[in-house]
Amino acid sequence: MIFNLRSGLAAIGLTFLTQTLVAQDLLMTTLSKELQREFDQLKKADDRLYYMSYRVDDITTYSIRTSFGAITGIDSSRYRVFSPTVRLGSYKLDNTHNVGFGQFPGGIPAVDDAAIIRLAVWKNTDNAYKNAVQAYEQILTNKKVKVAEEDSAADFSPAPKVVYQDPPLRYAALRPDLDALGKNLAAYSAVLKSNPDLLTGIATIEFKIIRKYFTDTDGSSIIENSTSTWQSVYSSTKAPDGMELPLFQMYYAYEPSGLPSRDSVLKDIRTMSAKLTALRSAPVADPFVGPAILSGRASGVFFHEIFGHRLEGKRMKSDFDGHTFKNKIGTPVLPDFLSITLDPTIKQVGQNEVNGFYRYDDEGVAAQKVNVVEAGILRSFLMTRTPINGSSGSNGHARTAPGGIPESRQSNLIVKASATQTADALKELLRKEAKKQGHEYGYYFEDVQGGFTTVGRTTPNAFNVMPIEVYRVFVDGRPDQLVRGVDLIGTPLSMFRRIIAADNTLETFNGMCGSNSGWVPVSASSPAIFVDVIETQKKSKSNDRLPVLPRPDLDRSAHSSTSTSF
Amino acid sequence: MLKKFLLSAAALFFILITDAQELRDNFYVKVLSQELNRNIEQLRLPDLGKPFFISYKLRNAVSQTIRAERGRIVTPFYGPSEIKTASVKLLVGDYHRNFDYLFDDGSYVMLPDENNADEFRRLLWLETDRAYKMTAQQYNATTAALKRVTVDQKELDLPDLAKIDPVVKDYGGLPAISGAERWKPLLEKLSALFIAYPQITSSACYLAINNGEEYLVSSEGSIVRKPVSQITLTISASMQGKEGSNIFETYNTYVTRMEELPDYKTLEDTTRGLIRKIIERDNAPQFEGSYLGPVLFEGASLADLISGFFRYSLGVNRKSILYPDNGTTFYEDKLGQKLIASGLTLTALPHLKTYEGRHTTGAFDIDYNGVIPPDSLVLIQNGVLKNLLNGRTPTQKFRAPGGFAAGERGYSAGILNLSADVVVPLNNMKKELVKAAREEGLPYAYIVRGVNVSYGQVPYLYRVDTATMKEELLTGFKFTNLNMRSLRRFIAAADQQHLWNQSLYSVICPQSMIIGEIELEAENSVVKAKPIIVSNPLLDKEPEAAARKSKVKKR
Repeated sequence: MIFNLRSGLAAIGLTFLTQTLVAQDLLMTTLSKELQREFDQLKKADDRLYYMSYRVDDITTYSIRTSFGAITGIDSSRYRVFSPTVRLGSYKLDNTHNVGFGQFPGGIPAVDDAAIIRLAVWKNTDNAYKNAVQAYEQILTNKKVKVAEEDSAADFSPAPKVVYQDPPLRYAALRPDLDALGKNLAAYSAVLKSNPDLLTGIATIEFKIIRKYFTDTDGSSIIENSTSTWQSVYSSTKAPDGMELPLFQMYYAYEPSGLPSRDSVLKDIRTMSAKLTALRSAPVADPFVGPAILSGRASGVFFHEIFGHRLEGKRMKSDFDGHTFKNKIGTPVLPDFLSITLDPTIKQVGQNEVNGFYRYDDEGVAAQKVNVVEAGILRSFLMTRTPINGSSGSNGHARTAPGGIPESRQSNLIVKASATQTADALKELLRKEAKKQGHEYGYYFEDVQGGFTTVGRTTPNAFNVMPIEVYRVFVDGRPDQLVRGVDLIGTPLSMFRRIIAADNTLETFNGMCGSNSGWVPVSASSPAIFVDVIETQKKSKSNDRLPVLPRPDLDRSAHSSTSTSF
Repeated sequence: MLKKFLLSAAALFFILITDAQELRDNFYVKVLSQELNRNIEQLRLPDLGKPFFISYKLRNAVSQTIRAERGRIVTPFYGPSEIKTASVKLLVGDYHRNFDYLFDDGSYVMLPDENNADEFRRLLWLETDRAYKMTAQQYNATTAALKRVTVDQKELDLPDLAKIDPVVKDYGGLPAISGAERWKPLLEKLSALFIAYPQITSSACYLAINNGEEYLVSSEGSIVRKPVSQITLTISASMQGKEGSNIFETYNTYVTRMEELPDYKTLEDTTRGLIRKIIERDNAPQFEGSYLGPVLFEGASLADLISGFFRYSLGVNRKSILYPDNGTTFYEDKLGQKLIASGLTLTALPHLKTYEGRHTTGAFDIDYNGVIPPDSLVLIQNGVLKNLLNGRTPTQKFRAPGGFAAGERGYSAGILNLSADVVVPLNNMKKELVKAAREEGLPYAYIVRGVNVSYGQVPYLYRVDTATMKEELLTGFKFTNLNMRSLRRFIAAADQQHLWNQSLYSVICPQSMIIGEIELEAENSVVKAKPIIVSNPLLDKEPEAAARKSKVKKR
């Protein structure tokens, strides 16, 4: 009897689980059916329609925030973003021609009910079709009233049909242990509270589960799962001159279990806390032109900004883009000891999990490793299904934030050096070069918070990498000196020639890149590099005073206030 | 007898003392008081005025929303969620001159979920510091700007903030959320009623619970805690009409207690009625031409009309001593003037908790500034403006705090009661309407029937044939020149009053009212959205039929 009862319970459990898992495929079945129905009816009404696709990002998030040892919030959410694509005209010229906006994504209730899904898809598709018609008419008019564009390639290209399905997600099994994570985070931010110099001390985590659906009228049907965990520790202080001084520690892993151990994070935070105190009294760096070393993380961001964004193929279709490398395939663009690949097919670089992995891009094309630079020679661009003169065929780099129009975007950028030196040798090079140029010191950029670049024609084609930890390295061998208030700036083409050497390490910067199609996860891995000339400028700063009163928990006189009553 | 009285008084005094002490011992009050004390005593920058007034407001809110569509719950995580926020008001100068009424940055800070005193105080500390620096800058800049203008001495003599007697009072804490889970299957069942109507392409039934407790601690000595509760049940639906326009219906019910929500049977009837109406509206003929004559407003439409006319208009406005203001209506200058028909009287009843056995949603014991309002305040008596709602900003005719502040710049009556001296039995109102129309020689009169117009919904307009009394629903019309002044043409009201709850506001008014000289015109919009090109997927049987056909062929 007991045996039978157990079997019965197991059967119920199995049935329930199977229903839940089967239900996840209902979304794809419904999307595919509705896509075909919409395409058939719209095509009958408007024979200019030649291609449609549906994309759904089904996103579940768990997040915890703590501040100075207190839990400030625990949230979870689930939502679906629906992105229809409607193409009118022909592969040669359609309504997406040089249009980087105009996508009207919608929501689909996160429920497995075919009728509810179909209604949401139906209404959003109508909106997308009407927008496409309006855009197409405008493009046809533009063609008549404007001069011919520099790039004459087609607007779209065929791609092989893909059928791929990751297994249904087991959401219950993926649910993180929020209590345990919360306790860790509270402990992390509590460390920062013990430093009286700090104004903020925050530790957060966000665990995201995404199941992406893609289907199109060429017959592709893709379901891809992914997870990501971002744990960040942020703290800030303020120098007496008003300068805000933030430092971060970011940890990326596919699942929370992949994060570094509690002890190792606590150690990082103690180091960060001490650095913040040191930064308060660090001297402000004056603008400087001279030699520098960029750590692996800093140079990863440097290459992402000054190089990676200029390899994004689709943006070169526009006459407004700077076209830095457009006609330079096969020519040297970097020193011959450097090679760069963009590889979305890998999950790890060295010991580090990297953030730019995916199997299929947002146009339903398989992700591919692209050797963009081989021994300093430019070989390829990052391509979507939108060709440009001289480069056609997607290499799986069409990416977008949920709801956007896919653009050429970076994935996992890896810089490799064929000739390397030790870190010490690189530092010696720096000292020698600084001396040669008549400087008392050169700079070492240890860590950065990110960067940005402009790639258009109307403003100078410049970049800005925002360091948060910078040291002066003195030619006379004195200990390195921490400085603050410095931004690394420049123009790309002049910078590439200044890269002289690289060390034999490889560091990774995981981050989110924001560009035309929104925020996408990327990584950049690089050895440290030595550059004989860089330019810095002063960082913008607040002119707000430090708070008038001391932090309440550190204010001895506050205890007397406690007993005061009105 | 005297001994008994003294004992009772002593007991009452003891209870009050205990209550006050309990309130002072409350975690939030303690934290707010500690940080407030520290700042009022010590916060100052060299050569800048120090704050003479600081108040902290803290809101601890718990909300929960459950939404169902077509028989399914579509809110993936519907458990209650907590949000705690705090705002700081800090004034530099003195009660007479601080320019309080000119500035409000609307800033607030999010507080942690966890009741951690150090973290609460740290956030209050930073926000108070920010508020002090900004206010001191504004105060000095405005004082300097004042030297450029000449101002009426009477206005200059007015203080910027009225003094109050501080109140220490606990009106109750966070109301518990209970019974929400019970509504899950009910909402599923209700929303499933729409499944049988595939032409209705959007529909939802949802319950939104927003409970909270609000704290006020000020350097004047006020300590107040009060509960807030708002529960809204909404049923909404829309469909594409034959003319391409979007026809939608929304039903809302506002209560302060879960047990006052309508029962399932009532809601089922409401939902079926809403479905009937939406379909009826699609088939209704268009209003043509124009109309000027009596209209009978019934039920919620009348309450919405009253709330629309008076909710935000009858507050005092302080005249700026810096800038000319030609866009504001200063009702203070109209005191003693006739605003509406002499048969109508409008009274604020902020303390009225229940009416005819139902709780009001607008009642409050103490206002935003910690001032207790009067039990009632006649705003309009027999059509003549007698009073206005005010807070702590003095004006020429309202020097003392009124107790009606609802936010930094707004005022609320809480509950508005409109009474009429010309009443007729409710059942005779239609006859009275027709009589009034006939007197004007009109072949038709109109009835506007209960619908929540505050959501932008088009009200139901019924044309009544004055010869046959037959009613016909019409669409495609609009009101013109409908405003407070329209009530000068009041004709008659029903003899029964009813409570209509709205969002944090209640209106008690006659069940219906006839107003003369209402203007109606045909809707003249020439632009309509194009219908959806692809057929409604719920009505389109083609794919299934085609699939069956292909299966047959394969066999």
